[in-house]
Amino acid sequence: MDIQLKRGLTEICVLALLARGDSYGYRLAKDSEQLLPMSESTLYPVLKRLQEAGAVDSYSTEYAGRLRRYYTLTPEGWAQMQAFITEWEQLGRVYDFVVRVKEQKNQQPTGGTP
Amino acid sequence: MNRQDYLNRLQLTLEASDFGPVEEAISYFNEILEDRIQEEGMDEEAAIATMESPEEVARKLVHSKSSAAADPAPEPAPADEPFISGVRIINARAEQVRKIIIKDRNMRLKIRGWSREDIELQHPKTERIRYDFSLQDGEMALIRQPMEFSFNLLLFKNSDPSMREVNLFVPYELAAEMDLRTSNGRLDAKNFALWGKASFITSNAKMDVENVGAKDLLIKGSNGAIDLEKIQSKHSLTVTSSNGKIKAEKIHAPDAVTLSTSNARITVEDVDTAVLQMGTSNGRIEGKLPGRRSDYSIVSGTSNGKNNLPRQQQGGSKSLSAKTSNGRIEVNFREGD
Repeated sequence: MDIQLKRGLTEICVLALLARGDSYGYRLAKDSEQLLPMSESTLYPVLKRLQEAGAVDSYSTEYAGRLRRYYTLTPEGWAQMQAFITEWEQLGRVYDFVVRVKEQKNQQPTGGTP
Repeated sequence: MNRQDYLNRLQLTLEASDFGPVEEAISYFNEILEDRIQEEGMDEEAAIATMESPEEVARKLVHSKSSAAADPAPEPAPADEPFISGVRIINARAEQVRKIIIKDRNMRLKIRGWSREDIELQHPKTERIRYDFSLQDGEMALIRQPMEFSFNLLLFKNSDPSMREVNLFVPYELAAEMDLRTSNGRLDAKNFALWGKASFITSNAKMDVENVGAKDLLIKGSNGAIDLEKIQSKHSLTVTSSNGKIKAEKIHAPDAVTLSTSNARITVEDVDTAVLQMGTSNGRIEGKLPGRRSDYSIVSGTSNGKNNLPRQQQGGSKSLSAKTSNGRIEVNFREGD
């Protein structure tokens, strides 16, 4: 898969996982497994980037006698999710068009244009 | 290995690279381990066994930082399996690329213009020759990874030429700049024009640049001849070397051309520029320049040898400086004196 595309997908996956509720590193890695498996070492830089971009914020809270860092979606993160959906709707239309053209071509005798 | 060992090794490996502050990453991975232990009911050893090694984690973190690409770095071959060597080929669309960076060493570098419209990069890949590649925000970078501890001189005996060479193919005309650097290997660039500036650097090897255009050109070598032909720079051309002769032929760089070396000669032919500076030592300066001698303001001198240029001449619209020691100066002009 194209690097840029993959990068975008890992980011949007993390945003969507956080949209379900605040979460923490280990849980995010586990939850990503069914969708787009990310190891912790892949996830860490993604979280860093999203934080730098202001799409994700973090806070520490006590859990079982120690501190655990939770990540939370910011309004900017929500906006990015909306932007993703809009963009992909457009891509979807292009995809449908490409598939349709190819199917029509396949039905025609080879080499001929009507 | 227990949790503390794991974190120590991660910290040491990160600190040894230019990752920057490591505390945050360490506390992140500490949490990951604690959660893994707690939630999976594993003991420390078992939790660690399911993780990537600290070195691998460090490598990916550094990689993602330098490339800022979320693409996980390629998995290294397990130690008990032979590493698959070969030539890796990377393609990129020209319009994605505004700058090409290669930082290599002990490797030949060949850059060629081609009739295709994409960019192709070919680099060898072996257990000991590893690179980080990234393409982000218009910057395409191939960075040779630091030397591993198990450095072995047999490396240089590799007989397959494709394993000693990085090749870069670009469209004849490319709206990008180039910053290319290697060492102990020949650098050879031909047949392309860049909208941006170009910088080519190597050492202890010959350099050949032919039919290349750029906004500005910087060429740096040492202990090897530098051969330039048909260079079009929008502004200037700067060539520096030591112990290597410089030959510059059919050069057009309106602002300035600077050729400087030592213990070797400088030869020029049809160098068209407003300001031409040539300096060497223990070597002669010779060649043929466009126009008449009276077109130039001249400063010249050698400590030991004949000099057919005036030591000082004023009044020309262009400027020419030629200085050496222990060598003659013989510069002629197309249209005579």
